Amino acid sequence: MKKTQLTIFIIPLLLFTVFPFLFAKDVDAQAISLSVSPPIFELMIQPGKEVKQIFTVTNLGGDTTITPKIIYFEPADDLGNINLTDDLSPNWVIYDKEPFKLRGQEKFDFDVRFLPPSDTPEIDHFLTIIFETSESVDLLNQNSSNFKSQIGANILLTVSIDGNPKKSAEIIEFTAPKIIDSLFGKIIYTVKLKNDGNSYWKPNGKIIVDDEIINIAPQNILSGYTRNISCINDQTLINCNLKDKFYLGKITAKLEFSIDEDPKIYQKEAISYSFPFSILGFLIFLLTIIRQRIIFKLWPRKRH
Amino acid sequence: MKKVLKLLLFTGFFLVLFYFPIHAQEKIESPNYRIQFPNLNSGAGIPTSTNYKLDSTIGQSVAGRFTSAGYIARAGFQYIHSIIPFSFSISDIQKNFGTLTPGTPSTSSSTIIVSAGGAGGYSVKAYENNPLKTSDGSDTIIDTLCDTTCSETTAAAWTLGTKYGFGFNMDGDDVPADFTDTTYFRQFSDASSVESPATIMTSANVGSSRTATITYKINVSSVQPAGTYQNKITFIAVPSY
Repeated sequence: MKKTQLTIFIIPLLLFTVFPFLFAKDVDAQAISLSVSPPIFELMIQPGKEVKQIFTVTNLGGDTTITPKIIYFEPADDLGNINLTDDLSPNWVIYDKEPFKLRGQEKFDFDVRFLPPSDTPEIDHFLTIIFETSESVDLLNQNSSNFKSQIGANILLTVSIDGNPKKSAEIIEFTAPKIIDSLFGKIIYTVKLKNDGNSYWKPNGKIIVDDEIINIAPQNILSGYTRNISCINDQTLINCNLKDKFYLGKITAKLEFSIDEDPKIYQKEAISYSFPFSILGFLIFLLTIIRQRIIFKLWPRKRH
Repeated sequence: MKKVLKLLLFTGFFLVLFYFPIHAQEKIESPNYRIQFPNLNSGAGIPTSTNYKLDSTIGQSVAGRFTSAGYIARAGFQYIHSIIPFSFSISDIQKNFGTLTPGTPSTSSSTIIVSAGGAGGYSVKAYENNPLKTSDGSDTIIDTLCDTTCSETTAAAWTLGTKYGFGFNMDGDDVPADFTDTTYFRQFSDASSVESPATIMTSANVGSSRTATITYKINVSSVQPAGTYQNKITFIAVPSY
């Protein structure tokens, strides 16, 4: 075989064998990957009216069959996490319960209609729409675990005839450290609110300390439950803490908020004291050293 | 030489054409925010239309008073001015533990990624339909009790080769604090024993691509009957409200 012919044969062969390894990516079919939007849907609706909402499910993994369901949830803690129940949504929340196929990289717009009949009681319904992947088919017959995944989005639903459900708040906790060090201490406020009303709401308000303002996050609090409220800065949830600077003496913080668009203002104060303990400590330490040095200097003279 | 060059160009063209897959995901998903406005008032009379797609607040933005529309709606979180999807992924659909050797633990891992950019927080829970069992249900690999004792909610060290069972470890972002290190394991919540799904990842704050590794471990004794042991594990990912 001529040298040129050999080159013609070898080069493409090499390229075809090496290229796939160079540019190969993970095989999506081996993963489960789903997304849902919006992550939360809030609705206050009059009995007898109808609203339709679309939840978009995107499959970023391999082809799968999705089974939808809408069930009730219960708050799991004071942080907004949930526990799913086995109770299905009321029959006036209408959606197609049939499983549907979703290929990799495909989106699906899933319709949910809310049509509470005119005699529906005026209460809240806390629901989660769940999209469940199908189980993988076991072809290996080996010792193994098969995985399924469920991804959800929450639905907060209030049925109200006049749009004025009773809303009431209680400040369970608004606290800060009583005493802090002026130099190294940090003041973090704990805000815990309770919903005493008949319908869920969000607080709109702030913590005011002299000229410093920390906005509290408008996080949902469900009726009959308490929630630890975070603060917010430019759409980012943060701890409710004061800026790191030198504070001295009494620090009075005032929590002020209203619930939704209700004009009533809820208020509470928290007082902290800031002292320069670390500076004082350092000065005492310094004085002690100086004193000891003086004593050591004087001591040999006394011995003589 | 010209021939070689031509052939190379030709081959290169086809390689580029076939070996660079088109990733629709990259276009759709990166920061695929569908900007929606939380207080858009334009929907009076619309909601009863079955063709109407409700993206944001329609009807009346002033809570406490309905317009004739008779509803107030909002999609997404009020304090985040765009709707970011909530997403969950796990790197496998099945874990094959292979042939089990008594006294020699078999381990295998999966990667879990959660993005809750549009949510205040999230939790991922997991449960098994039952402990690993043979298809006829006659034999079971028990859920681990670790070296001393552990459960579906409390992890403990599992290092002894003489302690048998099936369990898992979590390592990475937002994992429960009781997984002190990679030697700490828990059982999966067992649905057949009416145990509630246990939280394996959670965060109260907004997170993007929170990643954790789940490592499964099986150790069997020499008296474990031969057979194929299997179960099903369900992962539940939900945003906070």
